[in-house]
Amino acid sequence: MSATPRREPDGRDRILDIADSLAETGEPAAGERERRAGWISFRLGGQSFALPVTHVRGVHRAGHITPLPNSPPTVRGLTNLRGRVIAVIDLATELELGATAVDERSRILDAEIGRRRLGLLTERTDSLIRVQAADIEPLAGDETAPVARHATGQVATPAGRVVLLDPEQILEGA
Amino acid sequence: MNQELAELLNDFISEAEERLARVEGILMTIAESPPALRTSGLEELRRELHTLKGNSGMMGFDDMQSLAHAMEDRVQSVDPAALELAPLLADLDHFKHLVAEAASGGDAGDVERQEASIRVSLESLDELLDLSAELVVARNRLDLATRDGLERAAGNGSAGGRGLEAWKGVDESRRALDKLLAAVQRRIERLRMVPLRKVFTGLRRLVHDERERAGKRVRLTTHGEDTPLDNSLVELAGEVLGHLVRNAVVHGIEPVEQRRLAGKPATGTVLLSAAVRAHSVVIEVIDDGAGIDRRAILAAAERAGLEGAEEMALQELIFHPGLSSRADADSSAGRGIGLAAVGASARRFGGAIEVDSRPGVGTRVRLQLPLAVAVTEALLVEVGEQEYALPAAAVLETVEIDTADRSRGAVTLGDREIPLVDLASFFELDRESARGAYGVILEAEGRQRSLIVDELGDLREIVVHRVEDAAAVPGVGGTTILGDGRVVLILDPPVLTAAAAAA
Repeated sequence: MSATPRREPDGRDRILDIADSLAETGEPAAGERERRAGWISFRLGGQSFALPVTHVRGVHRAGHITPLPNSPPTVRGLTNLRGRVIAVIDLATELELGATAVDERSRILDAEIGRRRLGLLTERTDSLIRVQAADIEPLAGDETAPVARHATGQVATPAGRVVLLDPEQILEGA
Repeated sequence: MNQELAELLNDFISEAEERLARVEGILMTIAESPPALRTSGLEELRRELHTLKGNSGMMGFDDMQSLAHAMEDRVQSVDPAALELAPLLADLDHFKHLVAEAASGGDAGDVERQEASIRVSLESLDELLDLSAELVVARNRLDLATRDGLERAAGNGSAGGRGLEAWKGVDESRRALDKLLAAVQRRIERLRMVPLRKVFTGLRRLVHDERERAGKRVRLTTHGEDTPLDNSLVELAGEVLGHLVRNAVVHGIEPVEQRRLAGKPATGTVLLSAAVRAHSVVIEVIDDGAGIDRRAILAAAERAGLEGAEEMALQELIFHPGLSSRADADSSAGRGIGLAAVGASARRFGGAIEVDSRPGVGTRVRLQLPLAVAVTEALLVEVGEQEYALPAAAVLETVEIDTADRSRGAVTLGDREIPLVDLASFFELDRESARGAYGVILEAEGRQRSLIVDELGDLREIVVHRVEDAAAVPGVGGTTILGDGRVVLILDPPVLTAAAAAA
């Protein structure tokens, strides 16, 4: 059991500050960083997924999303993240898990992939997990399945299996 | 020089520069007005010169003080028709020179000026602006909550007495906060934005000088001087527009005799107009001159050894690097030579230039510049439970529409029929076509359409936020954030007015 889950700090309207989380977990030494990378885990279609913390600038409560006409179904619309207008992507649609409903627990990951800022809509965010390269297992099943096409592998955690997503593949879909 | 004095000097210099720019603008307006309409300009001129004289004296700049005095004398009790501009303009240039000298001359002051400024990245400014926009959102929420609190406390009658006092205290603090916030926002915006007037004034002077030199009759008309422009684009805009305006006066507008023969008014017109179009500033230079002679350009291309020139569009030819910086070809080609460098620098800043010309009729050059941050006035409307912002510059009028209008797909405005446009079918939204009771008449690029809307909101200042994903959608020009934090799409009038009419 090498991936250590950590509860998201409570507080209904609280922004999970990635920098703080890193500080609390203890900033790994330079050599160690490779081996124990931080991932943010979240739920889509009832399943657990994670993105490298290096691609996430922050986590925000899902506020009002303005639909954007004539855009792909993965684009849910536009939202205001701290004064900046950002496109909200529903990865669940891309992964063929059905559209994500927006409620009290929904969170938007403020992601930066390449030079693009994206808001990734999630059912909820779970925790910051530490993953060692050696613990990453290949996904079972069909390699051409939508989830497999977007993933680099999976890890087992006390809370269950977490699929590690490939940020570059997300950008392809969006 | 002590700190206080250095600051005082800095203030004086920037104010003097502003006033001199205003004086130049007024002089140009006077130059273009008939004597009967010069009086108010002269009044304003006297006031500006008087203030300049006073300020210069206070700062101990005797040379500036006496120069301002001399200029005042020139305009004091002169007959508006007999006003001589040339000596005033010469004085003005001298004055600018003195101010520039004072700005660079004060050695101790210079060091302190350097120390008093630091470089800040545009990104940091953007972040600051974004955050201040969020502050406004929070302020608006506080406004609503306070109003609600006051009303409830007042509604409780005598029982609410102490509550009411408390709410009044909150309201007072809120108002103080409001003022501070507005000041902070203005400062931040000012850090980046300047009105195009600054650029236009220089161009008016340029037209004045060039037409005197060329012995032509040219009138410069300007529109949209208040259009904000990103500070970092001012220099570029001045350079590009200077080139275009000079071209229009020197090569575009024909000599008086030639205009007469062509049946045109003796005085040629150069129109300079600017407007914010969603996420960009569009500046057009239009002249009613001879137009660009394609054959002359082709001849120049041949001399330059440019291959395949016959196949190229005028646009492509004019901005072709092979034709640039060949001063010798300039006079024979008529105009349009040397624009390659201009086009290249505009593109470097994310802008674009388009040329449209008809021989004998005139030329239109359109310069489009990006707006990292733009504040514009917009009309808010509601269509199918979504709010949209319409750039106010494109809104002609709002009308009520009835079933008869809807069934024939048009409204009547005066003696014209204006086709209706339904946003639902335009955006292929999955809902019934609009049955809205109002029409917003939009005009863009010479076309008019009436957009069907359910509700008319108010006219307000909005900050334009550019988003790639939104810009990719035809009909959407940008986005803005409302007081309650919601994102609203800004529609793009030129695309909407090109839309097919709703049946």
